[in-house]
Amino acid sequence: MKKLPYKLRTGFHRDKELLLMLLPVVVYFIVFHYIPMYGATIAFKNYTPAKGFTGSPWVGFVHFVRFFNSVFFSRVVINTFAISALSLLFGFPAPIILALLLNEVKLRWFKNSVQTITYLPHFISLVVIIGLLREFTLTDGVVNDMLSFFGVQRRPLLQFPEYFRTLFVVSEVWQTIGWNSIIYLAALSGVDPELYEAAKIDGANRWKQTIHITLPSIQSTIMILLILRMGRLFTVGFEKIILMYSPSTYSVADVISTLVYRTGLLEMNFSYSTAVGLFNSLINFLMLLLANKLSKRFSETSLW
Amino acid sequence: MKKRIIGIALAIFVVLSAFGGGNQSLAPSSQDSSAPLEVTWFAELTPGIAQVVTNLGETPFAQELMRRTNTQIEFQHPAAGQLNQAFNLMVASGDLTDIIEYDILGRYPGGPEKAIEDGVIVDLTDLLPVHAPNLWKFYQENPDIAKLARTDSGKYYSFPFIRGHESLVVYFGPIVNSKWLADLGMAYPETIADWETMLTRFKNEKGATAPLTYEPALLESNNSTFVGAFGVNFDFYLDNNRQIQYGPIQPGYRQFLETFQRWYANGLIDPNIESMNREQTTFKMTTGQAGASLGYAASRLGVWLSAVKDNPEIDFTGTKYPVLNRGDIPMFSQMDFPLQGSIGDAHISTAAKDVVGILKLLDYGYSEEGNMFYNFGIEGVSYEMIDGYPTYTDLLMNDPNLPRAAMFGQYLRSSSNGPFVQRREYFEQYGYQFPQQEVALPNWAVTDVMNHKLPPISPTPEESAELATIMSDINTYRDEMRTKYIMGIENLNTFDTYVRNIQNMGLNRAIEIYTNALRRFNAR
Repeated sequence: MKKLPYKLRTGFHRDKELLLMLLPVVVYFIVFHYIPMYGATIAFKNYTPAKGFTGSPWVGFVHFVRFFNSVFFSRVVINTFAISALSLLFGFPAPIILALLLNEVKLRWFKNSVQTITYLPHFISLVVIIGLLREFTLTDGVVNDMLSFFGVQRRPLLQFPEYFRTLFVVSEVWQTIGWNSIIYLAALSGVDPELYEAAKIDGANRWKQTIHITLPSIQSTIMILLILRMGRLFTVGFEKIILMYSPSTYSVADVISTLVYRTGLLEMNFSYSTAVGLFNSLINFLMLLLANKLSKRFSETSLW
Repeated sequence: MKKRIIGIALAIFVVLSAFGGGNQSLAPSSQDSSAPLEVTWFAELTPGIAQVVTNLGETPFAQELMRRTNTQIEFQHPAAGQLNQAFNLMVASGDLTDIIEYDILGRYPGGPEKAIEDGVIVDLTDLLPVHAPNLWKFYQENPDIAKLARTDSGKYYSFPFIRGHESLVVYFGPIVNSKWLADLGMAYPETIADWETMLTRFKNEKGATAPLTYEPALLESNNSTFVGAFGVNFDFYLDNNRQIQYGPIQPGYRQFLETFQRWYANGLIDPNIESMNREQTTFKMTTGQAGASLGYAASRLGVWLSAVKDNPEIDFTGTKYPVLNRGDIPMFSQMDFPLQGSIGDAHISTAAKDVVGILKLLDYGYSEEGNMFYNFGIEGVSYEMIDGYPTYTDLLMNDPNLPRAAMFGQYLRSSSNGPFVQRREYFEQYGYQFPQQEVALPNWAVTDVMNHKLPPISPTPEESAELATIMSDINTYRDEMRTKYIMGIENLNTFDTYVRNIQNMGLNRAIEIYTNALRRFNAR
């Protein structure tokens, strides 16, 4: 074996306890995250469970070609991007705004109750949330009751493609706003009060303080979270879509992950669904790299 | 160094995959007569019985079966409504139960031949004649049913659920509120025009907010109510020249869509139709929000009738399947082949160690004694022989607290399905709880469907993969467009484009595959 370079050897000697503590984490990642990656090879095979990962025949890029040629290819890609981008556009700033507003509230009991109320939906199962949404949007549901009060005709809202994305994003914001604001509230509590005092002496009002002190103070937190979120720009979880969509809304609701779910789990076409999933991961990885690079350039905050 | 790490990683992987691979050896061993044979059994817990027990093993039926066959059975049930996913996950994980009760013929992608090739189930062709004498004898005596039980290449693979009498093959059809019809002085509807008049009057004169309601899945399934009136169905069928056609691209299908679009726009169809489920349908029918629906003789019509038996405003009966012109015979309706693939078909998985023992266990259901047991339960407890007729006792028929489905399910399996031959005496007592049901079934049985329905044909594994690829796209598109047309989201003048799109998705190849499979079936 080649002799290790001097620096590495002393480092190893000096930090051996630390390295020992690191070991379980490394083992965890290798066993549960890297070894299973071998399974992704079935995207290039005709996989059947009986023949296993190694025994199934190689077929090259057949499944990828089928996906790119599929009549639904452009549709699921566009839908995935559209739903995700809308969620980002409305879902990302919402908790920041909530945190900023809560930060300005001086009444302790009011602040605490608002926080608790906005967290609550996070702890309700998605199935229940969508169950409520489905009931509320029926023609005799509460949403239609309200709309008909203003003279709008009663319609089963969830069945019409034009309302699907709105309902998706609104329910998403409602469910996640409180929980996601926690991290910003934590960042806000770390802002030095002297900065505000100094600003006040300089004659800055609340709005100016927010723009010039609060936001710059939590900017790095926002950027890191934004980069991480960008890495999932081409991801929409299948659970919520599956619970919400129906044939009449396929055209705006069918996304990559639901296609993977249908072909993989329902039709047992494992190789094809793996190929689609792999394609999705690749795009996500590229998006993450891109976001990181942009962030590095504009704000000097980056993941690495 | 690098090579060694790769080597170690590979070694770890090989060891891990060996653990996950499962034991697939086929080693029949002679069973010790004293020690019960331990068997795991995957099966759906039918909704009727799920309200009483969480596992079939707790029921008197299963206890008695284990006693009689000297076995120790551990039943594994998927979560309610998750049968397909649970089965697919089980196959994907390779962790199979010894007995798999599932519709391999209809629902396994690629069918039974593929399931054998994939190493999921055991080929029983050589084993049945030797180790399952009762089932084999039944096949010898009923060559027509045996033909349905094997694949094109002559392989046997299951212990199937068989409907043993022609009165058992019809159990589904249109249901209307007959009290409303009497109030309005109307006869039972026969034609599509009759239906339209009836639904309009239900809406205007009876205040129905959803005159016709149903779950989309029930409309789409093989009964083809309404769409059948226009000479097509939602899937493949045989036309009058015995050629295979695909319903959703025919001109008749467009007429169906036009009709339903008009009905939907006029408020004759439930506006929330796409999100209907079983409970909501039941609620609307039994509270007078809806006046017509589709359903099963016992689990819908029977349940609804008992729910409204104290309500003088509502009564139900089953009517004939609608047709276009008075006097026509419906071209499509629900009617099963005696054997056509059921979630009650039992298969022996490749994980089974004592295949011979399991063959014996499953074959019991086809013996004289086993047939009585599966159909009627335990003599003296769940039935008595009265003048040579197996008569269910009060325990099953008149429980003060539980519906019949729940009581029957604890003592026998004829009220749902399973690996045995179903007998007509079961239905004569269970299905005809109300006189209205006795009216419904002959109405539903008026049909010409047996000349148009595809027999349970099986494409080869290679063809199946290709067919699945084509049809998964086509069916998604068909469902989407059907809903959009009916709800008026899409205008019907795009129908020609829709047809062209379906053809471009490879429909002709699919028809070719089915035609070949049909030729092989006829040659069996």
